[in-house]
Formats: sequence, structure tokens, C-alpha cells
Amino acid sequence: MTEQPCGCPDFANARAGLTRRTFLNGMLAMGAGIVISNTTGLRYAIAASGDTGADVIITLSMRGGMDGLMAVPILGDRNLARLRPTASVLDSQALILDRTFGLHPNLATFKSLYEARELAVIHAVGTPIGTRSHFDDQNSLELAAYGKPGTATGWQNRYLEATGTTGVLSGIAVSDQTPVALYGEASTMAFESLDDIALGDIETDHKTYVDTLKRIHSRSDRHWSQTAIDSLTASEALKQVKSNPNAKYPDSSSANRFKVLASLLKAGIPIKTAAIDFDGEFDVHSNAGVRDGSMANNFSDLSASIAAFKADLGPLWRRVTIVTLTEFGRRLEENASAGVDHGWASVMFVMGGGVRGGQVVAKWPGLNESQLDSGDLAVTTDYRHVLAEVLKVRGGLSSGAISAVFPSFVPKTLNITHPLHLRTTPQRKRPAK
Amino acid sequence: MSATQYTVIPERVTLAKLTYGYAASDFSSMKASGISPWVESQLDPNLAEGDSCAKKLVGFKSLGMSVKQISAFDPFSKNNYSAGFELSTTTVIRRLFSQRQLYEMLVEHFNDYLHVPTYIAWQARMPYDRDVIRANVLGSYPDMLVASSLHPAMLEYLNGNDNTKDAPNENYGRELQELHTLTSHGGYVESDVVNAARVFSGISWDYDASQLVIDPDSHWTGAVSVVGWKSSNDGTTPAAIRSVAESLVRYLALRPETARAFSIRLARRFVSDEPPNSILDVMSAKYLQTAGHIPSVVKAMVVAPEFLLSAGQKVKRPMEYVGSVVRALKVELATAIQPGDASRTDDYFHDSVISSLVWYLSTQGQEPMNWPFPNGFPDKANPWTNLNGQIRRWNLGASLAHGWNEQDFHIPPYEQLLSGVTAEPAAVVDALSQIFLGTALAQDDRNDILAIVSPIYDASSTQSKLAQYAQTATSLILSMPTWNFR
Repeated sequence: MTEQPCGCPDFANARAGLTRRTFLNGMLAMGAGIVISNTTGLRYAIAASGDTGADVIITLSMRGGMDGLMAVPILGDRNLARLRPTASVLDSQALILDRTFGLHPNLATFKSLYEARELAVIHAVGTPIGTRSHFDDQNSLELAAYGKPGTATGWQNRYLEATGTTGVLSGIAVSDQTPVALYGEASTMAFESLDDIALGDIETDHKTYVDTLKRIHSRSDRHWSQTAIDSLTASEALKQVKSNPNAKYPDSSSANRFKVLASLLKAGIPIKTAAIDFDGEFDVHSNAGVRDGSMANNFSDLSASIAAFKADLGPLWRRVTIVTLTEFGRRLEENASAGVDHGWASVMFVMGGGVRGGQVVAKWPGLNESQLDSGDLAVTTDYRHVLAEVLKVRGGLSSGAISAVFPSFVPKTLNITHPLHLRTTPQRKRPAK
Repeated sequence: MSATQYTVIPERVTLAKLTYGYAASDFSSMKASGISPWVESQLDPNLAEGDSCAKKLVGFKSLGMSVKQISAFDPFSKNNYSAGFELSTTTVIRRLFSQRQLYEMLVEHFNDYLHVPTYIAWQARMPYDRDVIRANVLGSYPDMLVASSLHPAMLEYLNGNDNTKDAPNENYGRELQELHTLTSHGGYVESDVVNAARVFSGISWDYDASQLVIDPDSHWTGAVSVVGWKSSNDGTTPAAIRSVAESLVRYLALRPETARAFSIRLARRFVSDEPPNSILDVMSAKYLQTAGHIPSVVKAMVVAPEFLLSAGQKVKRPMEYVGSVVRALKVELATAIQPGDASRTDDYFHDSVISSLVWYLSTQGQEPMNWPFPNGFPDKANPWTNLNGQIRRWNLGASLAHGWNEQDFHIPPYEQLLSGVTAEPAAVVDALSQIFLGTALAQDDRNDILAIVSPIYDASSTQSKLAQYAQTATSLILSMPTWNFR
């Protein structure tokens, strides 16, 4: 796109030699991707960027400020019990993760994934700067370029660039709108439903219509036109995708988004990263409904949606890593209306077949008044450590590429992922504690 | 886009930016009067919506109802969604058919600025549009903000109803500063958020009585300061509490940081995604000089040289795409809108012919006022530039150009739009290009379009030769990049 300078010169090399257009022509000549299979009948498309088995990295954004202590309460903590008389999970109701942390009772799927060692919890995690503003924090979280002010590209788009991926369907938002994390040079596609995204017909043959629209748009250097050409290509490729769920999804818009994504993955669309917004009420300034109400319902929907997505994917589950994100957690002390105002640190869940699950990773800051940050759980782990490890280990990026995705940031390993090559080894299940 | 592709005709640019789309009638009246007088006339509070719009609005009862009346009206109380849907529908009608085009654009803008979704406070959302936004959009922003701060829709949305002295609910106190006035670089800190919440504590809406309640027992008393504003805040009567709250809102509304933020947001709507500082300086100065008089700032923006220079820099949002097609083609509703049927509480407005456009906007992510966060719909190109938006847009353009949805929309015969044009492909394409784009097509684009249009004539069709050429050519012109910018 010409209107916005790319904030990432590091990608010049990655992009050299292979333009989106030439790649695309090659890819379409072969069908919508290269399909490989193994003895279990696993069918999976890979991007033509050279990697043969990187995961599809899926972000699940819980916009509005999802509180970590409601999802993963610290057990037996007097401060939590005292300051959240209503907006907390009772210890007696919590599912048990380990001696320290519990899980909201409605997150049953998360509990079984944890036991199967396919889900890791990172707690007291968040953005390096907590403004307590939804919009500033969502924006900076998705740009993820704290050390490089003025960056106008999102981290998920820079990830696509770093992988050298050029397919028009490599980056997907199951949404009406393109999220900030996907802004940038690499082509990305946003659509919420598989209905009505096929180009209709006018009084000429379909191919002429498509080619004419592409030619007309190719004469304009606007980002709009570039996207339009890719939209046409993608829309044609998506005609082969049918909604054919192999699982019963809950009746919710979030579940529908997972259903669409599963259809795309099962059809072999070579997606490298996808963004889904969870459609829930997380901004619970009043009547948080942790035990019964808004948050309890959010967690039920979340749990059932993930369960259905996993069942629907079947063996493909082993090829995805899901990371949850939110702009901030909430204040420790609930307000007079049984709600909780904006805070800072929260929790992240990382799940998938290649996750080193069954562990809660937390440098716990404590909930005594002196340990809080302006009354909020303090951030002791920068969320970029989580993303960087996932992209490096499960996405197959080099350290150099990671620094292009997260500028001016030195990632450290949290040890929450298995190396890619271990994927084919069946995961041994650990008995529940 | 290169400058050669866009011929700057000042009236065209102005209409593209200040209305839901070029219409030939607006163009001729602007040509006759000049741009500034036309803008003045659009900002005249006495300008009528026009018969075509007024007739379509007749059946919608909530337009004239109080919060109390809406609460008591069965079709709304038994199916809350109907109240919001009625607002979405009347809003689309006004945007497409009202003669007060600039007024409607401003109404949309301030609904985004002081945003409340239609699914919040069903009893109060329509009155909020009418009594807070529409009533003040030709007046002062501080007045609008005060009205908003005490309105049941805002009290419900940003938790004013839950805000009491024991543990003030910060939601409104924060967004008042972050979104409605200073914005996040405007100098407020966490204590300013808490203090603003304290100032408003005890002010809530009583749904049973349908009235504002200011309860001194729930109000936090004691000295407060918010970014330089100070109050002893020791009043114990409703009137005293209200007056302190209003004083805070007016103070914030008239800060220089607010003037700047207000100007950025307005210029982002009408000029470009990143408006130049030079125009922002002029607008901010006018804002402060007129104590936030909205029409004065709008006029300062329109006469600034940067305004016309920003031709074609904004991507049309879905609503503007729909509006521009409907207005350029002079699309009419195929049948009159039937009044709501109060016995059908399940589906009060069961045959509103405009529903399909509301539904279309919702699949495009822009159902009027239904953005799920307090900051209003995005107003930069990026979020709207995607597959969902583009493919659906081209399909809608083709559908309207061909009159495929004839149950809902009537497309006037192309013989009217192209009166005097020969029924030959090149003549039709050239005439349509002038109508839609105000300029001739670039040679390559023209050749591409003619290649499709030229061979299509089907002598066995009941449609005229002119119509056959015109509907295909129109579909293609509506899908061009240029048509998607304003």
C-alpha cells in the first residue's frame, strides 16, 4: 500500500524475488494450495514459503478487558476473596489447575485440554504500558511496536511478511472488519461468513468479469485496489469451501466464526495466521456475573466453542496454536455495582497440539496493596514473550525474523511450546493430579 | 491515485464529502447558488427534510415518543429489538432521502462521537438521537455533551446508573475524557477519571418513573479536581450536584485539547484519514472562538483550501457507498412503507421495504449505530478495506444497477437518466462516466468496459438497447476504485 510507509525495512529481503502476483499465479495453477497427507489421512495445505509444517497461528481476541482473575483465580487468596465479594469464583467452585491456581467452572474444555497437556496458562501477563484505555491498549497491543513509535503495521501482518508468505488467504480475520494486527503490506482477508462473498455475474462470462475488474484495479496504486485484486482472487478460491461442520457448535456468533475457520482449514486453504474476535461482554463495569451472569456465560460459550472447533478439526487440531489476547485485565477491587473497572495484567491461554501444556507460567506479583499497580494486578510477563515464542517455535521463525515482528524487543523463552518436529510424536497424556 | 484520474470540480468534491452522495439536483442548486451559500442553507435549522423523506417516515411512531411512551408501547416493550430497528430504519431513510444531507452526515458523526449502540437502553435510544444529537447538532458541542451526560441512554451505556459514592463506577468518567473531550493525550490521569466519576455519582435514571434522579445520599461529596478544574463539590441538593457535573462537562468541552480532538475527528470524517495540521489549526481556533459552535467549525473546514485539495482521499464507508449509488441512480422504494402494526408485537414493522438495506449494512459491519464499543465506527480506510466489503459492494452495485431487487427498489428507466444519449455503447459509457465520476474514463478503463458492454445487446430482451448497455456499464463503473472514494 502506498499511502502508509511500511515501518519494516527488514522485510525487503524476505519479499525480494517473489511478488504476490507471481506467487499467486503459480499457486492457483496448482489449486488452492499444496496438499500433503500422511498415514492417518491427515490432509493439510502448506504455504509455498518453504516451511513444511508450521502451525496455523490463531489469535482469539477478547476485546473489552477480559479479567484474568475471573478466568484463572488464585486459590485461597484473602485479598481476592475480600475485595471481590461477588465478582469472583468461589474456591469451592473452581476447577483445580495446580496448588495455586484454579479455573472458572464453566471452562471445562480448558480443564481437559490442560490435563491433556495441550493448554498452557500464562498469568500476570499483559502489555508493557497499561493506559487502562480500551482503544489505546488494543491498538498498541495489535501494533506491538512499543519501541518504534509511528509503526502503522500490525504484528500478525509482520509475521506474514517475515515468513515470506504471499498467498492472499495467508492472513484471515473472521470478521466484517480488518483488525489492526493485520494491517500492513502482506495481503490479508476479512470476512465473517462464507455466504455472499462470491462475485455474482453480469452480462459476460464470469472469467471476463473477474479479469476486467482485476485489470481496472491494477491501474490504481491505492491500497484499496491492491486489496480488491486479492479479494477477487480469494473470493474465487473460496468458492470451493463448503460449511460442513463435523461437530455441534454452540449457537453463538463466536462459535460461528470458529466454524468458518474450521471450514477453511479443512478445505486446505493455506492460512498461516487467523484472527477471531470473541463476541462476549467482557467490559463488566457492573454486574460482572462471574458466578452466574455475563462472565459465566462468556466462559461457557468460550469453552463450548473451543470444544466444537477441536472436534471439528479432528487431526488438524495438531496443526494449530490458539493464543488468547485481551487489552487488559480488571481492577482487583470490585465497585459498588458488582462490576469491576479497567485494570492491567490478565491471563493468556495458549492451546494446541504443539503446546507444552499442563502448566501455569506466572511470576506472581501478589495481591497485597503494595504489590498492586494502581490497584491492579501487575504485569510481570510481557505478552510479546508469549507471542514471540509461539511464532518462533510453532510458526518456525528465526530469531532475526522475530525481531522484525517485534521491534526493539528481546524475547525470552517461557518454554510453553514443543519444537515443531516433535509434532508427529503422539503426546503422552499425563494423569490428572 | 494519480491526480490525472480525478478532475477536481469543486461542487462535485463538496457533494461527495458533505452528503451521502452526489445527486444531480444538489449539483445544480449548488452551481446556481455557489458552494458557501449552499452549505449555509444546509445548516439552516428551518430547512425541511422534503416530502419524499417525510412521507416515508410517517408510520414510525417512536420518532415522536418520549422515553416513557416508548417504555409503555407494547410492540417495543414485548420485543425490545423493534425499538432499535425502528431507529436504524428511519436513520437509513433520512440518510438516503432527506434534503438535509449535511445535517444527516453531522448527525451520524455525532452519533459516532457520543456513541451509544441501539441495543442499549431500547426505551431511550431513539430519544437520545432526537433530543441529544439532532437537537444540538446545529448548536454547541458543550450543550450536546451536557445533554448526553444526563441522558438515560448514556447513563445506561457507560454505567452512570451504577455509579455511587461507595465505589464510583469509572466508565463514564473515563470515556468523557478519553473519547468525548480531551482524548488520551489530553493530559488527564487516573485520579481525574476517579474524580469525574465522583462528580457524577448519584446521578441515574429511574426507569419506573421515567425520570432523571439525583440522589444526594449516593453522591460522593468533597473537594475534587479534574485536569485543572476544581470544585468543593459539597452540595447536598440535586440542583447543586447537577450544577457541579455540568460545570465539569462544560470545562472539559472547552479545553484547547478538546478543540483539537474535536477538529481531528470532524476533519477525519470530511477531509482525510490524517488531516493536515493547517486545517486543524483553523478549525480548533474557530472552535475556541465560538465556544464549540458546531456549524461554525464545519464552515471553517469547508472554506479552508485543504478541503477541496483532499478530493477522493476518504474510502466510502458502507453507508456512503449505498447512499451514493441510491442517490446517483435516483433509486426509489418500490412500495410505500406501511405503518407499524401494533397487534404484531413479534414483528411490528413486518414489511418495511428498506429492511434489505439495513440488513446489507449489517453484513458490511455498519448497521446504523450498532458498533459494539464506545468509540463509534472506525473512520479510517484500513478496517473497511477487505474482501467482505468489496465483493458485497460490487454485488450490491450490480443488483441496484440492474434493478434485480424489484420488490424493494424501483430504478427509474435509464432513458430518464440518459435523456438524449444515443443507444450506442460508447455514448452510454461516456455519459454514465460523466454522471457518476464527473469526468471521462481513462482510455484503458474505457476500453475494458466497452469490451464487455459492446457485445451484450440481446434483441429478444424486453429491455431497450439503451437500458441493456446502461445497466452493464453502470455495474462496472460502480465497481471502479474511484467510485469507492469521496
